[in-house]
Amino acid sequence: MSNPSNQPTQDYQAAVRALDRVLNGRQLQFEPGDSPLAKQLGYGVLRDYYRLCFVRDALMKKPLPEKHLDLALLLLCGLYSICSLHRPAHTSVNATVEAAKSMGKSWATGLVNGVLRNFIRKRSQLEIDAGKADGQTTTNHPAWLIDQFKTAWPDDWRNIILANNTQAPMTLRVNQQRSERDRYLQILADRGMAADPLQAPHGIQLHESVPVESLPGFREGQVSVQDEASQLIAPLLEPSSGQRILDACAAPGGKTCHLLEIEPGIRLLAIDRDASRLTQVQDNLRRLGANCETRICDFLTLSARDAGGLFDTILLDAPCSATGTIRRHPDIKLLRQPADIARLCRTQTSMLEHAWQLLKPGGMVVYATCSILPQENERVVRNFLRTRDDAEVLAVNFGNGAAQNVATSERAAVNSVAANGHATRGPWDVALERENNPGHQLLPQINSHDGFYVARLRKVSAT
Amino acid sequence: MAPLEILEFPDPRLRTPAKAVAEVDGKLVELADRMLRSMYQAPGIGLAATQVNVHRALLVIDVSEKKDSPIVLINPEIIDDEGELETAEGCLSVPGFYEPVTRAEKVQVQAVNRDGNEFTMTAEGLLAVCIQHEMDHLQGKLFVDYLSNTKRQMIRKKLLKQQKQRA
Repeated sequence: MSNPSNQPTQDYQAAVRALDRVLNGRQLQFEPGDSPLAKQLGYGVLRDYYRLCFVRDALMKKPLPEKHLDLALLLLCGLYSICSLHRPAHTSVNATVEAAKSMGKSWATGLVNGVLRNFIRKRSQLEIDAGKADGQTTTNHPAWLIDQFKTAWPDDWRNIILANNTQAPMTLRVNQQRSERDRYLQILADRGMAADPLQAPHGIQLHESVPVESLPGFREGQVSVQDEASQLIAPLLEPSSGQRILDACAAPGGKTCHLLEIEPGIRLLAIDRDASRLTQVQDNLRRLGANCETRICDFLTLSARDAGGLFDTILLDAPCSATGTIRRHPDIKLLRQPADIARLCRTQTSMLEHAWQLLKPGGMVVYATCSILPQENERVVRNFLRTRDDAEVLAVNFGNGAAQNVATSERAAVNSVAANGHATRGPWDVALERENNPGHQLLPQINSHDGFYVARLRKVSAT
Repeated sequence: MAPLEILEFPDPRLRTPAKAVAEVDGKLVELADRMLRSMYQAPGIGLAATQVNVHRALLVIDVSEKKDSPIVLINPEIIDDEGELETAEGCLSVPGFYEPVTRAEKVQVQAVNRDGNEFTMTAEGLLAVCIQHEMDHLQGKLFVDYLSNTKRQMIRKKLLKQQKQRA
């Protein structure tokens, strides 16, 4: 007998619930009991959203009315499952039809059945049509975002799109206080979990994603899950014992913990304005056996007095469009609106200015975002530099090979994907340097890191 | 060792009634272990010897979430039942289909264990359903037999098509 809880109907319903949230402007989120299949359907539909919508609409005489959004989304799940899940097409059709019934829409079983069967019949022609359709359909991104990418990265936007539409690898950061990378790689190898070391000094990439609980030593704090690009940020603070450091937007605490793993002797204050997200920071600290002061606080309202004085270093991992992490959060494509960018830029600018107020003379701000839009990155930093005469740009050196000279306009070769599907890597050949960019921009790479921006600014005496 | 091949509906061999096991020997225990491994791998919560084309009254079950409570039943017999319970059943021999079937909610079973000793157990809920489902196999019966003729024919057609594509 097969397990009744393996019945996919519930998974389809769970995926529809999660997608419905996103279409209503909220983050993609699953319930604790939702299965891996439900998540696969949810993420898969969002990665392939615009193309699947095109196919669905081509198969229907008229679109479903607004009140049947759940059915419209269920159809996307069914189409995705036929296209991308390696299982017999009829099981996908069955499960989708059954899900329509359990959603209380038995009247629609004929419709669901018809659309999916028609798709199976006309699939090759429909896929050709989708390949010739508008930019949204062919790129699986909203038109305004494509325009942004094209303007900012005329030579790279296609690679960005490709990377965004591909599932990101699972990457780990070994806790150097509790283990070593080589030792941990050996533990993984003994368990039959294939993995490679990354260029980030404590980074490991798994060949296959696994649930975090099944990572050896996870509970004991030997490793954390963190993208390689994020792993490059904490070392740039060059933390040393006794320094006062502020992590201004700490949640969920990946970089907070990384800082303490590098140098447990720092005096770190980690703040975040979201209480529930700050709990994640505390959970992570506890699991990793690290310790620092945490506080629920909106950075923009933090005064030097409340903070107990000025800081040697401030990590400003600013709120941003997160456009560098679309492959991990495909809901961003639907949630982000063009007007958000200007609003985010204003917040980022205020935060950078505020950080400056909390910085000791000679101190350093590390400004970082997981955005790939220059408005949120180099433009924020450049505009800031224009208004200050006490700021100096420090080179961003990822500690691997030669220092990245800020002034170089040399554009490194973009990652090529080798025949085996694994990206070939040179020493940070994925980093792009542009004229007048005071920082360093990483673009998302297939089978490698997310998109990220980082700049380092030192407070010098005014001239 | 490769997992055992599981027969799929409408394979006629699934209709063969099983013979009682006369003696629990090393070979039978080894078969039970292989069946458990194949069941976990499938993944499933129960497997009857009939499904792996061995027509002896032997079945293995594990309905626990952690897959750490295997049960081996040899020559099982239901000596009492109680109540009714409708659940969606699926079967490793009818992959991909789940349909509602009504069974007894609680059963008392007498069987021989892997050490060759007779015992009785009571089961309810999913475990009771699973025991009844697997015991049906030993008589050459499948859960699709409880469905309407049309539904059974539809499942038959789909599975045949899928088997042909695989071949």
